[in-house]
Amino acid sequence: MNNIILEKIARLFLRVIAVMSVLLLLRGHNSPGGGFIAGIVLATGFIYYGIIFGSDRIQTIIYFNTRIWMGIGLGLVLIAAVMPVFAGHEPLTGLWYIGEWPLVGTMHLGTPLIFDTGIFIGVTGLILSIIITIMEVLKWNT
Amino acid sequence: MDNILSLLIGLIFLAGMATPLLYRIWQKNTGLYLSVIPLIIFAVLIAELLQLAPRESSLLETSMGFLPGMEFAFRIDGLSLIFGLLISGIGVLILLHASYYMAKYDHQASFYTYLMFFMGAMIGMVFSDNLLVLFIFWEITSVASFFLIGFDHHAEKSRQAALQALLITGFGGLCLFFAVIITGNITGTYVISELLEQSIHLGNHPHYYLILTLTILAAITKSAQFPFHFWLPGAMQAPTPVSAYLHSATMVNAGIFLLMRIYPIMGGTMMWKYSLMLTGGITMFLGAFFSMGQRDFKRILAFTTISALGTMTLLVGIDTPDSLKAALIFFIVHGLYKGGLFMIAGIIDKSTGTRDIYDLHGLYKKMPLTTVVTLLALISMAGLPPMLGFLGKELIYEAKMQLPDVSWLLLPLGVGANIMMVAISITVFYELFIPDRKRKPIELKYKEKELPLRFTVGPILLAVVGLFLGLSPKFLETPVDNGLFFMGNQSAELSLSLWHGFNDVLILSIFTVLSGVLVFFIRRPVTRLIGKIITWLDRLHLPTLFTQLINKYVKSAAKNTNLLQHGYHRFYLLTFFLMVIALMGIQIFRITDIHLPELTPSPIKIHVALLLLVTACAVVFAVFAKSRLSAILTMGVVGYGIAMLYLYYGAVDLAITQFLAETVLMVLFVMVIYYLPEFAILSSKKSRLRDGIISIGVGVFITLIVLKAKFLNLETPVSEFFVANAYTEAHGRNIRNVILVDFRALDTMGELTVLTLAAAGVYSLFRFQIKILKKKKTGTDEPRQDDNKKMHV
Amino acid sequence: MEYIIAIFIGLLYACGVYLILRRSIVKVILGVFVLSNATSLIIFLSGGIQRGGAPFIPEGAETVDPATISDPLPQALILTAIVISLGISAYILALKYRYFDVTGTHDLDQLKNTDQR
Repeated sequence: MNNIILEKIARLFLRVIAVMSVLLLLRGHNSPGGGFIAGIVLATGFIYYGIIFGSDRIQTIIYFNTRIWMGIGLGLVLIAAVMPVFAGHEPLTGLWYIGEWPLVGTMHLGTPLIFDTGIFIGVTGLILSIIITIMEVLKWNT
Repeated sequence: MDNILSLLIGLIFLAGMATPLLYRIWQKNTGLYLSVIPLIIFAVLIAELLQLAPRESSLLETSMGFLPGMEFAFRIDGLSLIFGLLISGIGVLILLHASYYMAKYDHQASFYTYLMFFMGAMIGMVFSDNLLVLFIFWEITSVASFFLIGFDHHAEKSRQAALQALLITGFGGLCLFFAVIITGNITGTYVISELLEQSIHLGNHPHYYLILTLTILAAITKSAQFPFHFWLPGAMQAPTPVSAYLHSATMVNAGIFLLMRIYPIMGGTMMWKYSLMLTGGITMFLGAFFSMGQRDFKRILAFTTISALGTMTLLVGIDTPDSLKAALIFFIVHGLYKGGLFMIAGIIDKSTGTRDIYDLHGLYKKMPLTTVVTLLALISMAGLPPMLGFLGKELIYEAKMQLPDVSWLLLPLGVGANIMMVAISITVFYELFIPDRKRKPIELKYKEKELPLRFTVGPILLAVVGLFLGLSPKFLETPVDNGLFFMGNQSAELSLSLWHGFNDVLILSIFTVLSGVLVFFIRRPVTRLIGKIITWLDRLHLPTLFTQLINKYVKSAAKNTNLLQHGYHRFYLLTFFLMVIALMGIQIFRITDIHLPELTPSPIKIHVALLLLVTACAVVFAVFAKSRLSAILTMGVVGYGIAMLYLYYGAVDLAITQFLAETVLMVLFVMVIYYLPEFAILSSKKSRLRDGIISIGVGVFITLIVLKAKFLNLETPVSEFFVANAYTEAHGRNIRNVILVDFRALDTMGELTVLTLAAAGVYSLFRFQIKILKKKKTGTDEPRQDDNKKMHV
Repeated sequence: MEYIIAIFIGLLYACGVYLILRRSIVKVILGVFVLSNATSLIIFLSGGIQRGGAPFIPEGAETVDPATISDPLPQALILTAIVISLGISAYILALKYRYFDVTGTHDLDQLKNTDQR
C-alpha cells in the first residue's frame, strides 16, 4: 500500500479532523457537538489513518497506549464528579467560572467542560482500542 | 449483669473465629483454655438460677441484632436455664475431653472453630427471645454439625453421613423457617415473650395444621425421630467428643426444646398429642430394640439416644403437667448419663483401640475408676435407684399411666423399651468389665493412671452430679417449676423425691428390672434374633434408601435441566419471544378501553415516508441477502436512513452521532467480515417459516405497543425542567448536551464505564491470541504488508 | 406520520428477530444491529415527533418554549444508547470472530456445550 496521494490525504485529513473534533467538543455546550460526537469524529479520523498506514502507526501517533487514554478519560470524568464535593456541594454539581476575557468575550468555564473532555478522550480511546486490537489480530491471523 | 450473657455468647463466636490463631499459640492446650468461656457462662447461669423467682422470667433486652425486629434479646426462664446449664456445663467437659482425645488429629484448629460455633449457636438458640433469631441459631447448629460429623473428611462414610445429617436437619430447618414466618404473620410478632404474654394460641387459626406440621417436622428431623431417625447412628462417624456433645446431650435435644418452647403457642391439641405420641412411641421402642443388635459401643449409645429422644417426644405429646415435668427431668437425666457414657466410649477407644464391646472383657481390674463411673451412668440409663435416672423413669411411668385412653398402647411400648434399656445396660457392663476366663486379658495402650485428668474428669463429674441430683432432687424443683409455669401449667404440683412410696409405678419398675435381667440372661438368642430382624429390615435400609432418593433426585434434576437448558441458542430466544408475545397479547386484549389519539398525529410527509420506504426495503434486503458484503452495506443504509429521520425531526446531535457510529461500525464489520464464514442457509424451510411467523408476530406487537405508548403518555414534565434550567443553571444552550454532562451526568459516567468495559472485553479476548500469533509468525516471516488490502474491498 | 414510523419500527423488529433466530453467527450479529437501531427509534418516537426545532436555546434568550422544540430528554438517552450499542456491537463482533476462530464453526447449533473442538 504505497499510494502517495492517499497517504498525503490521510495525514492532512487527520489534522483537520483533530482540530474539528476539538472545536466540536468546545462548542458542544451551546451548539451541536459535545464529547461523544467529538470523540467519534476523532476516532473516525484515526481509523482512516490506520487503514492506510496500519495500526502500529496509530499507536505511535497517540503516544500513550489506548487503554491509558481510556483511563485518562475516566479519570477526568471522575475528577469532574468529585471536584464539587470539595467546594461543599453534592458530587456532580456543576461549578462555574464566568468571566470576561479579551478576544473571546464572555467565557463560561465549569466542571461540565472537564466532564465532557473526559468523555471525549474516553470515547476516542475505546473506539481506537477496539479497532487497534481487531486490526492487530487480523494482521497476525492470516 | 444485664448484658453479660449476650456478650459471652458473642465471645464464643469470636473465640471460634480466632481459634486458628489461638491454636498457633496454645497448641494442644487450645481446648483447655477455650473451656474457660463456657465455664464462665455456666457460672453466670448458676447465678441466674439462684436468683430465679418461681413465677418470673427475666428478659435481657439489647438493641443489637441482625436486622430491626431481629434483636438478640435473651429470655431467661426455667426452660432455657435448664438447657443452657446443661449445654454450657457439658461443653466445658467436652472441650477438656477433646483437648486430649483430638491431640493426634489434623486440622484441630478448625475442629475447635466448629465446636465453638456450635456451642455459641446452641446457647444462643435456647436463650433467644425471637423466633427468627432462634431459627438462625438452629441453622448454625445444623451447619456446624455437618462439619463436625464430616470432620474425618477423607473417609467416604463420614462425608456421606455428614451430608445425610445436613440434608435432613436442613430440611427440618426450612420447615421451621416457614412455620416461624407464618406464625409471625398471623400474630404480628416474632418475640417469644410477647407471644407468651398475650397468651396467643393458634389452635383455632385456619393455618394451624400447616404450622404445626411444619414445626413438628422441624423438631422430629432435628431430634432424630422415626422415620428420620437414621441419620443419628450415621453421625457416629464423628470423633467421639462430637458425638458426646452434639448427638447426645445438646443438638438432638433442640427439637425437644423447640416443642417445649412453642407448646404454649400451639400445643395441646389432638393433632399435637397423637402425632407426637405416635412418632415418639415408635422411636422409643425401635431405638431400644435395635440397640441390642449392635456391637459398636457408640452405635449402641446412638440407638439408646434415639430411644431416649423418642421418650421425650412422647412425653411432650402426652401433654399432662406430669408428663411435661417428666420430659424436662428426663432431658437432664439423659444429658448427664449419655454425655458421660460417650466420653467413656472415648476413653475405652483410646486405651484399647476398639469400641466393639464383644471384643473386650475384664477391664474391671485395669480401669477401676472407669468401671465405677460407667456403672453409675449405666444405672442411671437403666433407671435404677439411687441415680436421677430412676426418678426420670418413675415420672415417665406415672405420666403414661395417667392417660387412660391410650395407656394400653403406650405402657407396653414404654415398659418394653425400658426392659431393653435395662438389658443393654447390663450387657454393656458385663461385656466390658467382667473378665472372661477363656479369653486372653486385654492389653491396654494407655494405663488408666497415665490418662490426664482433663480426659477423665468429664464422665466422673457427670456421674457424680447425676448421683447427687438423684439423692436430692429438690435442687431441680425451682427451674423445672418455672419452666412448667411458662409452658402454661400453673397448677402443676411439684414434688420431686426418690422414694414415691409403694405404688403401681414401683411395681412396674420392679417388673421392668426383673424382665431386663431375664433378657440379659437370654441375650445371645435375643441378639441373634434382633440381628436377623435388622438384616431383614436392611432391605428397607433407610440410609441407603435415602441416598438412592437423593441420587434419583439429582438425576431427575439433571434431566430436567437438560430439557430446559438444551443449549440451542435460537430455541432460548424462541421461548423468550413467544412468551413476550403471549404476555403482551394478554395484556393488550385485557385493556379494552384504548384511548386512541389524544393528540392529533402529525401530518404525513411524503419525502419522509419515501425515506422510510427505502430503509425498509434495505432492511428486508439485508435479511435475505446472499452475500455478506451486500448485507453489511444495506445495514449501513438502514443506519443512515434512521439518522436522516433524526435529522428531519430536529435531533441534530443524534443524527451526527448515528452517522458516525454507523460508519465506525461498518468499517469494523467490513474488516472482520472476510474472516467470518460465508452466509449459508443452515435451517430447514419449515423452521424458517416458523421463525418468520414469530418475528412478524413480534413486529406486530411492537407496533401495537409503540402506538399505545405514543398515545398514552406523551407530555413529559421532566423535559420542561431541563429546558427551563439549561441556560440559567447550567450555562448551556445545547439542552441535549447539558442533560448529558450536567443534569444526568451520573448516567453518562456509567455509560462511559460500560464502554470501557466493552473495549477491555475486546482487548482481553484477543490479548493472548495476538501474543501467541506474534511468537509463531515472527522469526519465520514478517507479517505480510498486503494484509491490509483485504480491508478495502 | 406516527403510524408510519410505528409500522417501520415493527418491521425493523420483525427483521431483527428473524435475524437473531438464525443459526449462522453473522446473521445474529446483524440482528443485534437492527434491534438496537429499532429500540433507539422507539425511544425517539416516545418523545413526540410533531414538534419542530432542534433543542437549543437561541442566543440572547434565557430559555425557550418547550412546545417549539423537540424533546431533548429522549435525544440525550438515544445518544447514550447509540454509543453504547456501538461498543456492544463491536464487542459482539469480536466475540463471534473469536468464537469462530476457536470452534471453527459458524453454526450456533454446534455450540451446545462448553467443550472446544
